[in-house]
Amino acid sequence: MTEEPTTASPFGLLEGVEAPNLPVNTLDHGFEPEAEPENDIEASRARAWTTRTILGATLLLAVLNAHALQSWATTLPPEWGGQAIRNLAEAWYSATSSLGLDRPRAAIHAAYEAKKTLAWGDLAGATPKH
Amino acid sequence: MLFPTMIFGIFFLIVYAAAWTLDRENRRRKQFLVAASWVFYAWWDWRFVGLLAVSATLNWWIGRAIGSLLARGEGARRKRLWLVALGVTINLIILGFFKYYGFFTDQLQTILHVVGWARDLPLLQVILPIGVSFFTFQGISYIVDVHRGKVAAAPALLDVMLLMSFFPHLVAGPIVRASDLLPQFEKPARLTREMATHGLLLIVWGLFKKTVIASQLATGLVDPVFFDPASHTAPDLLLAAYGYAVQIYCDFSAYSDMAIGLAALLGYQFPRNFDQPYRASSLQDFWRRWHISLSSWLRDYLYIPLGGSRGGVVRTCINVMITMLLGGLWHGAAWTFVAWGALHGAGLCIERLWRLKPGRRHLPTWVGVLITFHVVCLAWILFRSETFGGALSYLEGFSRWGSGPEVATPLAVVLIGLGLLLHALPPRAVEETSAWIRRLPSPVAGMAVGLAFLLVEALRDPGVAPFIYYQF
Repeated sequence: MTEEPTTASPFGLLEGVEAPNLPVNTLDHGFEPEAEPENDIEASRARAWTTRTILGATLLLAVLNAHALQSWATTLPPEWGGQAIRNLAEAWYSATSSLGLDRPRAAIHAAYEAKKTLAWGDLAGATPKH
Repeated sequence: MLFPTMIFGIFFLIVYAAAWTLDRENRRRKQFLVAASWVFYAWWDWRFVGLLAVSATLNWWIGRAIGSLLARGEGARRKRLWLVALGVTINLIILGFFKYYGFFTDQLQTILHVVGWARDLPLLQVILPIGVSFFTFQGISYIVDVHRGKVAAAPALLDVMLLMSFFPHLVAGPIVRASDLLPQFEKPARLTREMATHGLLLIVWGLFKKTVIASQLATGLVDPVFFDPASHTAPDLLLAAYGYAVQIYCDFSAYSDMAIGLAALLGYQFPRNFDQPYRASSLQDFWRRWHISLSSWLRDYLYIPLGGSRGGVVRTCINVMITMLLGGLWHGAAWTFVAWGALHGAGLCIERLWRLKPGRRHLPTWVGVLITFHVVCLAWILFRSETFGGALSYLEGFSRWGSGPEVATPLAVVLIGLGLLLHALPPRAVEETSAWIRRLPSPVAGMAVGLAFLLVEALRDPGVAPFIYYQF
């Protein structure tokens, strides 16, 4: 027996196919299956590129978003080195903010917060209601 | 440990570094990933790590027994079926006890009271282990797939342990099938630039959807309106219903995106779980796009074993209704979830009957999209309301058109619009962007990814609410 075509299964990704033989591996993985790196050198190059990219993004965030690190550190319990992490995060935040590195994030945040308080009545003048 | 938190970020950086250090020793790498996944799970409640380990061990043992019977041929079919039944029952007992004990004892107590046999049933405060609905369904699919011969029984317990415990999908899916993941575990993990950029973009994208759209809609509009619908105007109720549709999509698809992205950075591929669901022009289409790993699970392990569409229209509709009712119950131990499933099931049956009607008119696609979206929104009201009374009160409120929105701000409307506009993007926008980024030198790519994270960080509120699907 086979499933009816087209409208057979209300959940069908693969209509008209019996479940026991469903080719599960044809499920969409979100991107075209790419050929695996041909050799170890190519694979390690791809990995090194990824690691450098992640490292770059992490460093950029550590410099421009020290505020997040500081906020997180304040939630740590004092035990288990929590106090030491808090002091470090505080010092790092002070250092980056004294150089004005927290300004881009803070400016975007402030502008967005102003939009949040905007009410329908304010739209004509576009000034936030306080 | 929630994905959009600092502690998870630190955890993942450590896991990433250690996992790739163990690249040449696949077995040790998998052992490490299991240990890391247990730490991730224990962060919430260490006591349930044991449940996870026992569940994986039982599924592995039953799978192996089925596999060895399978090798003997058709003669052992009966024994295999018994083992499948045993495996499915064990998984359902775990799910039933932890998730539905309170619900079923309440129902039984009510029934006994009605028939005049009032009894005090043993009351237990059962804590719901996070992700239990996902890992039990994964266990069931593994056993059934081994029985069906779609996947070979894993010789090593380690592989099944990792299949069920792997932290990216552990607590809220996607429900990754053994046939998708076990073959990947057998060989050393490999990372390509395409996987890496796709993974990083999905993580940023998910973070944006969760922390900017979903969380802000929840706190600013949806939660206050659903908390007391009787005191809100119709425009607020309408916008909160749309808002919830956008919130639940941005919340759950964000989790799936981040899970897929995290797995990709560790060298594994998960299937897509969402495909712009509000573009659906019918409910059938919606279920091909929404929580795909669950809808395909329900199709393969429930709907088709029930007979699928092989027994005529009436039988098909009964099978659809059973599937959707149980699908609703899977989401939570409450009648509102069952009713949500019933509404979808009824809609699917009506669509099917409509298609069988001779000489029916074909609706333009945009009309289908509009109708489907509003039926889905109506069902979300049931899904979000804690009681039927709450849902009815919400629906009654649509008659109060006297004044404009009071809770819904212009920003909330913009966020709703943005959440819906995501559905107008090209279906493979993330893949196309990642194909572009992969060509960049790593410092530039790192800066681009870092700036995208920074933008999300600037827009998000402090703190983060748990994902909606954690409770399921």
